[in-house]
Amino acid sequence: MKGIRRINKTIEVFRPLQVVPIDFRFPGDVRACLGLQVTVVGRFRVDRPVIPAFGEYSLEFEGKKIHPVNFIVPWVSQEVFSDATQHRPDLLPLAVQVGTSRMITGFYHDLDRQQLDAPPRTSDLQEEPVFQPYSVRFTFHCYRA
Amino acid sequence: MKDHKFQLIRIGVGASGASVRYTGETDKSYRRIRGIFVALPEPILEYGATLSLKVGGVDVFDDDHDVRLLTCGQGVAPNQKFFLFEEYIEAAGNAFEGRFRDAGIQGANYPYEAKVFLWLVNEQES
Repeated sequence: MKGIRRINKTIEVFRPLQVVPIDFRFPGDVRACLGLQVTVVGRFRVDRPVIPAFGEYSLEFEGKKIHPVNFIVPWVSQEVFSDATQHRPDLLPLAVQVGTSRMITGFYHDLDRQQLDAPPRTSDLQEEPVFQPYSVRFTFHCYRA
Repeated sequence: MKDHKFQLIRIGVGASGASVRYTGETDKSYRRIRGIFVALPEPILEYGATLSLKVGGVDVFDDDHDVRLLTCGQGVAPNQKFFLFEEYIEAAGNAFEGRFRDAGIQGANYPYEAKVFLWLVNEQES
């Protein structure tokens, strides 16, 4: 059936500065990818409500023939309401035609913001911040035939 | 003349990490589902919660679709809260079903009610 299909791909990040490979195939009925939303799924002890560049990612389509996106992923606190946090993540337009290969490859790179943006230690007795594993969810908005 | 309706779906979530199936039918007086908005009682619950949706047997959102993409904070105007569908999704009494998954965030209060709003309209397919 024709229409729009939203395809989710979730990856897990376990270590600071980890590079997580992305390698999967779109279903056979996908003909084009019109855009992408990426969110960091996790709750962290950091000292600001928005971290604009929490991680970065790169994606290639059609067996690395098309390389439309290198971009950053922000982290947004759900608990703090402000102009910067109250909107949903926007759709990044891609408009990539999907051919026979349907392969999506690339990587996600953690930028170690959990450590860099951790609240300052007020005493030597305070524990060092511990890396919290988290997920990154890629939502591809696709046309299907 | 009835042009707009905001149909509410209530999903009761009893415990941390619960996965709750919901079903229903769209109001038959309206032709199209124009948008969707999910409201949770605490912003903390939005971390990692997912919602799937199937209308008339067609997948609209996969199992792993993040609620964060379908909600927004209280400061957003009501008419801008909704995620708008670019495709034509027929309402007109169509059956819908889906599943809401709580992410099991520490510090959240249970039970709670997730509210899913469907924005139904009578406009023709463009």
